Amino acid sequence: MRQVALCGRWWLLLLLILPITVGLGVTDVHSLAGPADQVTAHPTGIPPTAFALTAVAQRRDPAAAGLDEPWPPFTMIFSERTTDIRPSRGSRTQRISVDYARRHLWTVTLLEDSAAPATVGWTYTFDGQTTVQKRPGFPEITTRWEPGELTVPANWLVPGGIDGLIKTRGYTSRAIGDGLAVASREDIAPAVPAPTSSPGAAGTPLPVSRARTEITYRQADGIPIRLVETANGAEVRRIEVVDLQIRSR
Amino acid sequence: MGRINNGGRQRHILWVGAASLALLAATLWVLPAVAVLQTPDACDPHLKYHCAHVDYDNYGSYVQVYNRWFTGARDGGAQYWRLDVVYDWSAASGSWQVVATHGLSPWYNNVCMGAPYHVYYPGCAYTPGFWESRPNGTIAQPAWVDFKMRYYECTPTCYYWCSQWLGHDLRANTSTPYGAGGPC
Repeated sequence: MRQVALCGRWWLLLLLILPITVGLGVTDVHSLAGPADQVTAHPTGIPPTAFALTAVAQRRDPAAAGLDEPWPPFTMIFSERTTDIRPSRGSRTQRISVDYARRHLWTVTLLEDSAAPATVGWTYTFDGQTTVQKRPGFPEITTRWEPGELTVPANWLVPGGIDGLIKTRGYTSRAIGDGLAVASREDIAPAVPAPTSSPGAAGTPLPVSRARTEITYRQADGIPIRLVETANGAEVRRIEVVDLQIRSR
Repeated sequence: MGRINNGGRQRHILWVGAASLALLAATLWVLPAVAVLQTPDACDPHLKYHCAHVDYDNYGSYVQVYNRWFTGARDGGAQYWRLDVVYDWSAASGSWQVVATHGLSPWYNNVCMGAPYHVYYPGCAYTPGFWESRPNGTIAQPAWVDFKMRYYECTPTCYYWCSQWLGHDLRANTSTPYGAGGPC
């Protein structure tokens, strides 16, 4: 009788524990969906708990295993030309390769830099836990990440992909043929009084009142192949993918 | 003898006067001249999210850094930005070594840059003349100071991206953005 009574208590315990466990699981799924909301609710900083919850959620979610990756694995070489909006400054061209396996595993290598040739060969490797920078002639620099935190190989390779830009950033998309489409967005700034210091002086840039971004991408897999940014109608940034090799997942 | 003594006193007065004038000139002219060294602003090359420069003295065998200045802004997509890190580099030992770091400013979420670098974006408050400094320090020659800015974006998913390095050569008094922008 004593054993039976004990078993009965275990069943009671199980009945108590089961709903709590299910509840935790649901909480984690919600955390995956809304860490951004949790962050924006704290305007003075980013609560570390948001990342911790994200990490727990990713362990449970099959999407974290790669099903929600924005692109298939690829190797890409792109050139980036930036033009300073100040009239006295020139332009700069970089050529960069990206070896991309998934959001949490990639390597970036600087192949060419017209402004800083000595930096050619610089690599950045991200493995989900650390970013390691290897610059020729310099000691390595390592950045450690908390579980769930994410950095990107380039700020135009946004981890949410083109779909994310269209859904959340106000981009509109149109097909241009040959399996390509262009996503674009234009920001028109409100009128702001011009600063009074050194108005019109040589080298003083014009305020950016109209900024436009166009991203050309492959419709089949969403991989961007071109990005053009203009400020007040003048091109300030152009990225062209010059080589792209897609690998199987 | 008296004449000789008087001549010595006059020469002494002349020497003291000359030394005083030299000291005054050094105080008024030389010292302020070395105290105003400032590297040119190294900036984001296109839409001017951020800039940085260094105030320093160059004493030949070492550099006295008074302030490491940075300013920044966020665009319509970023939630926050901050100074990620400042590295002071020295090659006094024969290879480049980090001799000090000064990093991690608070996260800013509503700061746009003032003159002469303008970023007018929706959702970005205009804050003219925003600059913040990092602590003083002395570093050996040859000296180099690197800045990096970090941005936090949460659309369509949360991630960080970093600026190029904003490098400052304190021997040549030059500055340049370099390295690949994006990875942190």
